[in-house]
Amino acid sequence: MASIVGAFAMSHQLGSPDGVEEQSERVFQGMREIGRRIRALAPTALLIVTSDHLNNFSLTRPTPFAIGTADAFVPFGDMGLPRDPVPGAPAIAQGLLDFAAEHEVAVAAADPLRPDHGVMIPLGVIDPERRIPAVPIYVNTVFYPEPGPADSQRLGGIIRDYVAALDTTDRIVLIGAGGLSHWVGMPGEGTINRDWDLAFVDDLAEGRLDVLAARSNAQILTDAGNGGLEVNAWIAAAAAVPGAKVERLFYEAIPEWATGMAGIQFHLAE
Amino acid sequence: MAGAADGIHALIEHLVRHEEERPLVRSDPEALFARFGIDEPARAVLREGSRDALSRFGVHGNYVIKWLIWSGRPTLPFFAMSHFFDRR
Repeated sequence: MASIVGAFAMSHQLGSPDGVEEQSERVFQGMREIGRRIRALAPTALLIVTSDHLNNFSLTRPTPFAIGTADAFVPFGDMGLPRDPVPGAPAIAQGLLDFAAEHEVAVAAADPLRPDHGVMIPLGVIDPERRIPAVPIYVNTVFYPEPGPADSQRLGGIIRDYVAALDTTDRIVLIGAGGLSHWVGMPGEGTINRDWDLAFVDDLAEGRLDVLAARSNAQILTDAGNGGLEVNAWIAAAAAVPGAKVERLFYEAIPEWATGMAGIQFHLAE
Repeated sequence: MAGAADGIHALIEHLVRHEEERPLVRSDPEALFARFGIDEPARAVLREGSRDALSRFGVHGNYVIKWLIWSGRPTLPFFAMSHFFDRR
């Protein structure tokens, strides 16, 4: 029987270290620590719940939820990220698509797909050797007002139930990526709501997922920015591992990166 | 519902998918504007508008970022990803 053997959440941004060398390094080392812990779990597949940045999806065809089903992905290459192909996990991806449909959660197949930094910064640090098959799962909050926290919680439950029903010996690691507070391409860019960020992680740590899921995207947009909507990926990841204990690995508010940067591990319930 | 920024969005989406044409943003933006039926108010904000002006015009935040990068007016400084990725 397949199982989720690990779960994490982290920001999917990096920036210039100039002027913020110490903070930059703490973030990067925190990401590397997440990578080390994941590789130590010997996963057979990674499920990366994240958002695209309109590099693969169109405003003319809003796609709140999508899954990359290819057997390999050539990265989009934004931010100077490498374009070396990375392996996909098509059987797991297609199975999750089918499972979601059976449970009346609308998820589209993302094909063709060239994953941008939303996938490739976390994946690049987690799996620099490009050995672990990965499934990009999109919670595309670029299509505001959908999907919202309740939708994302539901998706996380689908992921949980799918893995539990999967008749393989797969060892799945789940990563929620994005956030935390940031304003992108709009007034307020560079603002970070440090109090909101820390409270969000506290709510996860205290098991208050239902409180987070009861929020509206409008509230998150006001308090944490259009980029802050990416925490819906963290909500989905948390919903897939109920009862998990949160370990805070790093938090840095970096205005020079225009982002509150965070990383956590969900220690799974026995 | 059609919005003032729809033509801009179509232009930028095209450039997302056609990387080879992005240099036209600086070398021949008027040709792009003509191809995508961009009217003069939109052209003005694309030529000279700030991040906030583009946003107020209705351009999606992720597209604002891309347009400003391609225009040579990024809102965040360039950095070499190798600073991090060479040390993974």
